[in-house]
Amino acid sequence: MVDDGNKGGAGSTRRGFLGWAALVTGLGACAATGAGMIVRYLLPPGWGTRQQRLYVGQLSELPVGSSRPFSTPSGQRYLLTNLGDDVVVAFNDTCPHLGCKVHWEQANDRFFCPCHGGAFDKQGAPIAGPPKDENTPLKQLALEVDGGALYALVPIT
Amino acid sequence: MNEERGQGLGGWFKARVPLPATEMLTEMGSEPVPGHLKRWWWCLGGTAAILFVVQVVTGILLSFYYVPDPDAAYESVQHITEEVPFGWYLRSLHKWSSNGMVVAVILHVMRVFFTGAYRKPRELNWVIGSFILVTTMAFGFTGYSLVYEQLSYWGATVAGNLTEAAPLVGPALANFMRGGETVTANTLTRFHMLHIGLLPTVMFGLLIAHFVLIRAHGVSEFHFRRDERDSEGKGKTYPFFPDHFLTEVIIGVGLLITVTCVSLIFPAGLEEKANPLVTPEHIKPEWYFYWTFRWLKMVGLKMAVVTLGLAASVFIFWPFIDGAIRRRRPDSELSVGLGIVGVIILTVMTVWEAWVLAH
Repeated sequence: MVDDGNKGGAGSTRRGFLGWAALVTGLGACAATGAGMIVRYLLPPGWGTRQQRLYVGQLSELPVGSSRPFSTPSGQRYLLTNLGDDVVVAFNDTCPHLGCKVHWEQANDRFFCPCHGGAFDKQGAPIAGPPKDENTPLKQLALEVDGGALYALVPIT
Repeated sequence: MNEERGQGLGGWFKARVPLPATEMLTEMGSEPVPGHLKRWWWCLGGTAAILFVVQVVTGILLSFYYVPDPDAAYESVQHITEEVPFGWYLRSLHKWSSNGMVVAVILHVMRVFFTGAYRKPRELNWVIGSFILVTTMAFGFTGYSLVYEQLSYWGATVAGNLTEAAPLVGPALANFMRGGETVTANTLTRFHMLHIGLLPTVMFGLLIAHFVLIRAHGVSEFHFRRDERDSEGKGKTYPFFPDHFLTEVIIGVGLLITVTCVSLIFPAGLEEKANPLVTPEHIKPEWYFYWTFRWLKMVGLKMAVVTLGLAASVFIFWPFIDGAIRRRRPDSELSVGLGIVGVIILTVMTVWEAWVLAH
């Protein structure tokens, strides 16, 4: 294809030049696509997403076993739950199955969704009902404790 | 200083790297390539080389996330496959282009063998090439063990015991390879080092020697009846650049498309995690070791190791054996007959083993 009109060396005719231009452009596009994939592959998780600390209350105001909701600036509701042993977690209160609200059951040591009996353990991992079948955990926000104050790390988009 | 300024960037560079770069490139690019290389069948060595480059690139990328520890290896492969963006794609590319490389190397060996291209003065390049084949197989074996699935672990166990059965050096070699009496954490780090350190170094050395010798001898010439010839009856040649370069570019792009399609249809998956306490019911090696597996089942361990060693030596030193035969009987075409028998035996044993494993 390329060497048809190219008897006098690379790029010496219009056809030869166009052939090389097409080849270089095509290969360049391939290389750029590949490079994009490789960059995405190599970037550590969370790269480029910024986080903001959101004050969600005092640790002392959250007795062991209790749970109370807070909302992020983007309007998502999370359950702040004190699991005891200084472990506090924040899970999204929306069931990943069909969107009902889950709540913490201290007696059963689990998060429970009353709609279809979905249940999640302390780590938010599905242990019963449709979420277990679909292996869909609860979404979680990281928390920080600073001088007795609780902060959720909320991604800024 | 002023002189340099006058010559721009090219001059600056030339002063610091005083090599005739342009002349060298022109020299390399204008190497005459025989007309028969326009046929795809004659570009299998280049095909294997391109797939090796794919292996190097994807391999380096995979090693960013792989952890060579029995407690973490399987999970890190799972992480690459299921969580890292495009990880599944890079891993599938690595897997399928390795299979493609084995196929290309085997076909290249067959092409060289049946056309007698290994004959004087190219005997040593055949020997180098046969070590490239062995290194390729070693890459496949060590790479598969790194995944740390059930078959990785038990494949390494069987290979260790095979090595142990070799006469004299067997047990010592096996223990050295495994880093102990059985497959342990030591084995995994050793295989990892072999796969990403020693074998690539050896392979680069062998490839450079292979290419240098090809260039020094020139590509062996073959004449087809339909090929154009000049007035002296010599075959037509064409320059490496751009003609043969473009052929290789087309092969490279074609291979990437093919391997991508195969990766999309059959992405590299994960079987059960390795469990040293439970041997799976059916253990099998990679398909290119099927024939050795069949032979092993047919003649027993000791006999298999000894005969395979003998066969490998005959294979590696075949150009010299063939040369000795042809000095006595110049018209001997023994190599072709022997080659056909060899290919049939290996194919039958591979298909046989595949059939047995499937039923």
